[in-house]
Formats: sequence, structure tokens, C-alpha cells
Amino acid sequence: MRFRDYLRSPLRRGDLSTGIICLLPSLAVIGVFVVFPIFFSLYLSFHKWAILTPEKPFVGLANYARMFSSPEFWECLGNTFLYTVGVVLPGAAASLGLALLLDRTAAGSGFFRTAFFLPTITSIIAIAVVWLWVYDDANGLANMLLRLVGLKPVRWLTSPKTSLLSLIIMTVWKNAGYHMVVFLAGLQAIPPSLHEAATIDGASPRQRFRYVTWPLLAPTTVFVLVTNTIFTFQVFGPIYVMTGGGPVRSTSVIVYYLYQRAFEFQEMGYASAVAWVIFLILIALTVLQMRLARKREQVW
Amino acid sequence: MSLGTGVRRTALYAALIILAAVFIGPFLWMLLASLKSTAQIFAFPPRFLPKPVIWRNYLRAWQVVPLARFYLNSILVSGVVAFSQVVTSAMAAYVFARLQFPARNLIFLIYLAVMMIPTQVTVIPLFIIVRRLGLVDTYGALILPFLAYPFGAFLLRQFFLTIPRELEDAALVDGCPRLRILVRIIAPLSRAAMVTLGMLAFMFTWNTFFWPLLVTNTSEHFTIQVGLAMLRTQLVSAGDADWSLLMSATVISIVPVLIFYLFAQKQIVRGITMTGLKG
Amino acid sequence: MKKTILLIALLVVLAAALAPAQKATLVLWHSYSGVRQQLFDSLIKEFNKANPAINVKPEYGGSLWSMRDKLLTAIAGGAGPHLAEIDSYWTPIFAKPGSLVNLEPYIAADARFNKADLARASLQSTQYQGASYSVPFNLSTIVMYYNKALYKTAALDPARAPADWSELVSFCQKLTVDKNGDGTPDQRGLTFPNKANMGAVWYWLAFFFQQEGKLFNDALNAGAFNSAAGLAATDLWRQLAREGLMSMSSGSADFEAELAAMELSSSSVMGRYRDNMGNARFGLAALPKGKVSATVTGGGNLAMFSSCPDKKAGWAVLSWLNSTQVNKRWALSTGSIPVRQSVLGTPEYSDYLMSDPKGNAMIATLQDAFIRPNIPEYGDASRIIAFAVEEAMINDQDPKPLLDKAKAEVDALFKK
Repeated sequence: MRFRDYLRSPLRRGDLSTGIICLLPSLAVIGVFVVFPIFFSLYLSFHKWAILTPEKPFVGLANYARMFSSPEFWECLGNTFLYTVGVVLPGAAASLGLALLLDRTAAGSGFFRTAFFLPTITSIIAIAVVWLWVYDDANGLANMLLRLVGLKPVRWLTSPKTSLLSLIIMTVWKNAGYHMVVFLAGLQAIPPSLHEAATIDGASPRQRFRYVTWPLLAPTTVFVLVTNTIFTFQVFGPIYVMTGGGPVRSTSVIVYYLYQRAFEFQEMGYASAVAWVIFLILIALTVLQMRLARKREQVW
Repeated sequence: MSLGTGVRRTALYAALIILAAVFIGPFLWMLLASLKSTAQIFAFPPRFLPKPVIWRNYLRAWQVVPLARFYLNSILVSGVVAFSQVVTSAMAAYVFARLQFPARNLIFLIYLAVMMIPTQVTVIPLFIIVRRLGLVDTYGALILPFLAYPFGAFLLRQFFLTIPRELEDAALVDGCPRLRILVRIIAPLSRAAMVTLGMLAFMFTWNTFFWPLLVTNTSEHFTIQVGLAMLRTQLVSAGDADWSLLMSATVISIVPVLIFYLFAQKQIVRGITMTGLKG
Repeated sequence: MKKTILLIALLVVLAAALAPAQKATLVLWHSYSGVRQQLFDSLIKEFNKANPAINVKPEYGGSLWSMRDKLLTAIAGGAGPHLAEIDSYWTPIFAKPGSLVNLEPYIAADARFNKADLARASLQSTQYQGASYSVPFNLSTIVMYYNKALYKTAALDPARAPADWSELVSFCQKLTVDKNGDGTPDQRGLTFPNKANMGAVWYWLAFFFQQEGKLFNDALNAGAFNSAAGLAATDLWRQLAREGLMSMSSGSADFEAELAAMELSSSSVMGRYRDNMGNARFGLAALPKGKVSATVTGGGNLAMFSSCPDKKAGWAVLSWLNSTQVNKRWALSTGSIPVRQSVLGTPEYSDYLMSDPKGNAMIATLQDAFIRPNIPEYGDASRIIAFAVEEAMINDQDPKPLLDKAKAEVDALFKK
């Protein structure tokens, strides 16, 4: 016991040198290409920068003050939260469901996996071409199907009431296969012996999921929730290529807002301030998710 | 009992087939559209199958823009990035999953934080760095900034956490160096996760559009997504592109990722059976 | 010692030999791919041949829309091009911070460059605060495309598009058809390419100008679009939307697919419709008239950036690409509207006009063409106006309070 404590003691010299060697390549790349841009954007958030001129006058907290008093900022933030909740939770459930279905299926599982994964490997620009047709008011696939079963057509992307939901549905569809693969890799890392042991002990499939799969899958679940939140909150592609934030700002999300301010109107300082608020929100969400996970299982 | 299992099986497959239709449907439309003329694509009432089948769309896609060159560029860039990310991520992930040092989790959180700043505000400073390094319009600009990314380290760290410590404790007691443990014990056990990461990184790099457009200026270095954008511009303005052409080019652009995926899937399955975790 | 002298002498000779070959290499970003790129490249090749001292390198920089982001990034990073095609309404964006070269001195010194020959609207689009900062190159206007076959089915005269607003509405009513009787029309009267990042303002502006509307006050420091003109244009759109006469989807293929009988679109897509639909199947006309006839221009201008090492050479390139001979060839092969009036008089272009009534109709729209105001605030203002118009249209709301609110927001832009 004491030997093991020694092995895990913080100052084990071998660990330190191994740690440095192992982290060096990553830190070098990230240090050169990521750290400076990030701090530069922090610096910019207290300055005004029109991009085309080198002058960057200091404006203190003016960018932040302007942001918090801008109704549009809050509207975009609200849309982003709705979108994120709508995508992350149902998305994770859908992906886990697909993974569990496929984990047990022997015949044809390769085919189904590929089918579910197809939307993930396709770029959003190509996806948009297809989904603009799916969502077309008059002749789109979605409304064709609705009419087929006798329902009234929906104005998917042309009504502010449904446009965000339409994008959520598309995103869940697009990303389901992505997280399914991650869940599958996680499921397959669980030693089959544990399931066998549980079966021998008379556990029902539901109990096996609750007491074997779910706890052992926890690190994967945390990973999916955390990364999906981080990426979904920063959604940009579908809005850029499909809606431009409309109709009537209903799909105006925060990163699209930031992009418009930065590039369309050359307010890079203001956009950087928005970016840092996004950063703080994401840090808070990440820590929260990890805390919740840590309370339940020892994964953190 | 066996009757119940049979019913359950049938229900399972029925569900899978409906789901698969939902996921494949739009692609089937794309694939069929790529073999139609534009008039056929938008015919009303819609016709499901192309008639006649216009294979020529696939030939034209290569001719209208130098798609072949862009294709090779994308394969090279995405391949190198994917390989490198697997290696750098595995090393970093091992540190965060197994080694003990002060403030480890805080450092890890900072490491993750890199993913939380929208790239729209970091892209100009990143461009400035790339320019200072003299990398504008080179493969270096497309590859170097992405050789490591925290996402991969996070993914692999979570998988390493699921590997029982006991497996490496014995080796540690024998004085085996940590790095060798990573290569000999951890890596084979997490083969599925590493292949998954490689595939995701390949896919992500393959589908990037904005950065390649920013840092490359000549068709020697353009990537497939820039090529697709060229086709789209033509579709909107000039007369020499149309929807069917865009569809066939899109199908062409998906194929390599699909192949990579099919390969990866095989590896994932084989990785599981070879690790011999059963005992 | 001898060796050193010899070496220096050798170097001098070498330098002398190399000097004439030292060319000004100028990088030019454009937005053309496919056949247009081939044509553009061949034009540049000709120029390089005729001007051995200058070497122009044409490079594809993305569609005009994405090229703006590329330009901003590259200029900030000190790696911008020397010359570039920019969307004609961005002249103020790049001119105001001093990124563009004021071309007036070069125009004045260039006897071959006839400013008076430039089409009125295309000259206007080059201006920022009274000076030219770009030269027009690729020009288009908003025109009305209509489907002759669908006109015939609706018992409308296929030789005539709606002449005024009330005809536009009545034509649309006749052309909106629910073929399968499910309560939703399968064919709409009107559509326009409502692309994600362009929005509807470009098209709305044409109707606004048809009511003699002014976007900003004369001092160009406040919005003025909440006028009778703004209300009338928005109300027309509102009616078209309410009655289901206008397709609201992305609609980029609705006209080609004959799901919409008329389309407001850029004159530049005529070639595509000709290829895909057949020349006889569709007609091209000016937009219906309000109080006056009006349309809005679009397209790409060529500009020189302050980083250009040899401004005389840069001007030579711009001037040549804008010349009557080159512009004629560009217009004939791409369907772009000539930016020089003298092009219209050339034998080749006259022949083309004689042979093609659509070409005539397209050229005629130029007389009533307006440009988007050349002030840096236009971009943000147009976004604010777009939201108001869209809201009135989609929610079928009274446009007055919406446009008033938008005006207040636009006024705030000028105070920043």
C-alpha cells in the first residue's frame, strides 16, 4: 500500500520528465499558433480596431458596456442558449441510443453505422444544399411527407417561429453519427467480462445498463456533453450558409453576430469582447458539467 | 423465450431500417441528383430515378475546375494533420489521465479553454503569425497550426480513464518507463479511440473551408472545399455550372472521407477483438 | 585586390543585365472560376505580353462575398494583393481607412481613359467622397425574368412583362396556381434569390427607388427611408407575401425549375437560364414601374491597394481592363453589362444587340439604375432595414413603426 502511494506521489521525478516530454509537442503547436491569437483578442476587446488601419485606440470597457446594453446581443445570446439546449441534450440521447442499438446488433451493423455516420462526414455547405431543398416551403421533402400523412405544411425556414427548431433538427441529424461513434468506442472499451459476470449474477438488461454500462461510460458521456456544448454554442456554419440569421433575427446566434460585427462592419475590438463573454460562458458551463459528473462518478 | 427474442430482433431491425432511411435519404437524393440534368432535379412532380442517367456530370466536375489537384492537396493535408493529432493527443492525454502533478486538472481546463474562443476573432492574429513564418500559400499554413488540438487530448484522456490502472501497475513496479507503457499497453488498448480520433481529425480538416481560402492564393495549394466554392460561384453567376454538377462534385468530395471511415470502422472492430480484454 | 575589382565589375555587369528584366509583379485577386477564369486569365496574359515591364499575376480569391474576409485578413497581416476585384458597394469600406489608392491623379494623367464615357451608374459606384477609388469592370442590374410558357398557360401576353405595380400584383395572381388542389400553391407568381448572406434589401431598394425614395438625408448623416416611399415598397412586398404570390423559400432554382413564373434577379444569370431553359422559353424585362422606373446595380469593380509597389503599373492594368476593347470582349462573353457607353457602338456589340432583344432590354435598364449609397454606414444600415422589411412582410405588420424604429437605429450608426 505504501509502495503504491509512493508511485502516485506528486513529485515522482520520472513522472515530471515524462510529462514534459509528452506535453511538449502539443504545447509547442498550441503555444505558437493558438495562445498569441487568444491573448491578442483579449487585448483587442479593450480597444477599437477597424482591421484595415493599424491604430488600435484603447477604449477601456466601452466594448463590454456597449454589448451589455445592446438588445441584439441579448437576443442572439438567447437564441444561442435555445439552440445549444435543443441540440446537446436530445443529440446526446439520440447518439447514445443509436450506439446501444448497434452495439448489440451483429448482422449489418457496419451498414447501419455507415448510414448514421454519412451526414457527419459531409461538409455543412453540402448539407445545406440538400436541407434547403428538404425545408423548401412548397416543394420540399419535409412538407411533401407532411402532406402525404394529411398534415398541414410547415414554413420551416421562412417563419421566425420554426426556423431555429428547423436548424436544431438538422444539426441533431448531422451530428448524431459523430457522437454515436464516440459512444461506440466507449462501449467497446467496457470489458465484456463485466457484462458476463452481471448476467451470471442474474442482472436484467436494464440493470446491466444502469450498473455496468452507464457508470463505465461516464467519461465518454462527459466528453460528449462537454465538447458538444463547446462546439454547439459556437455554431456558425449552418447560419452562414442557410439563413443569414433570419427570418427576423430568429436564427441570429452569438457567433454569427460576432462574425458580422468583425468582418462585415470591421469592429474587431467589439467582436473580441463578445468572444470573451462567450469564452467565460463556456468555461462556466464546462466546469459546471464536470462538477456534476464528478459528483456522480469518479471520472474527473 | 426464443419467440420473444425473435420479435425483439425484428423490431430492432425495423427501427434501424427506418432510422437508416432518415439518415441516408438526403444523400440518396444527392446521389440521384448528381446523375440527373438540372431540369430533372427540379421536375414537378418530382421523379425519383434519373432518366436518362447522365454519367457525364462526373466527368465535367473534374474538368470545370482543377478538382484533381485540390483533391490531392486535401488528402495530403488532412492525412498529415490526422496522423499528427493522434500522436500528439495520445501523449498529452496520457499525461492528463495518469500522471500526478500539482494543479493538473486546472492546467487541463486551461488546455481545453483553447476551444472556447470563437475562431472568428483569432483568425487574423493567426494569419499574422503564419505570414511572419513565411508560410502564406504553402502546405505549412494548412498543416502546422493544426498538428495538435485539445479536442483529441480530451477524447483520448477520457478513454484512458476507462482502462483499469492495474494493467500498468505491474509494469510500473517492474520499472518500465512511462512512455513505453503508453506505447505498449495503453495505445493498443485504446486503438478504437485512436482510430476514431484520426478519422474525426481527417474529416474535420477535410471539411474546413474558411482557413484554406484565407491562407492559400494559388491553385497549387487550394483544397477540395475551395474547389467546391469555385463551382458554387459559377453556379450563381456563370453559365457553365449547374446543380447536377455541384451535386456530382459534392459526392466526389465525400468519397475519401467515406473510405477513411470504412477503413477506420474495420480497425475499430479488429482493435477490440485483438486486445484480448476478455481475460 | 584584383580579384575584388573583377568581382565588383562582374556584379555591375550582371546587375545591368538583370535590370531591364526586373519586372513589377502585381498580384490581382478576382472572383472568377471556370470559363470566366479562363477568359480573365487570357486577358491578363495579353496584357503581360503587351507590357513586358509589368507582370500581373491573377489569383482566385473566392466569391466576392468571401473575398472581403480574405482581403481584410490579408491586409491586416500585410499580405494583401496589389489589385483586386471588389464588390462595387465596398469602395467606401476600403477607401475610408486609406487602403485604396485615390485614382483621380492617374485618371487625369491618362489620355486614353475617358471618364465621360463610363456609364453613369458604374461611374457613381467607383466614388468615395467625390473621388474615384476603383474602376468598373463587371456590371449587372436587377431585371425581371419571366417564363413565357407559363404566361401562355395563364393567358398572358408572352411578349410583355408587368408594366407597373398593379400589373405586377395582377400578373402574380394569375400565375400563382395550386395544381394539385391541396391548398398550397405549387407555382408562385414571383420569386427572388433570397440568399443567406445577401438578404432581400438589394431587391427592396429597387422598389423603394421606384417611389423616388431616399435612404439617407442629403447631409448623409441620418436615415430617411421611413418615408412614403419606404412604406409603399414594403406594403407591396407585404401584399405579395400575404396573398402567397411570392415564394419565400431560398428559391435559387425556383425560376429554372418553373416553380415560379417570374423572378427578380441579377442580369448576370441570363446566360445560365439560356443554357438551362432554352432562350425561347423565358423573357427579360425591366422591373415594373412605380412613380418612376428604377433598378439597382451590382457587380465587381477593380481597385488598387496602397501596398501596390508600382502604382503607375497598377493603373495601367486597371485602365486597360476597363478599356472599350477589353470591356467589349468581357461583356460579349460573360453577359456583363458594358461599363463603357462606347462599347455599345462597336460593330460586334451592335450585332449582338440586333440579334438579341433580351440584350437590348438588359442594356436599357441601365438608364434607370441607381447605386447603393457610397457611404461606409450603408452596409450596417441595409442590415437594419432588411430586418424591418422582413418583419413587416413575414408577420404581416404595419411597416410604419418598424421603419421608424429602424431609422432610429440607423441614426445611431452615424453618431458612433
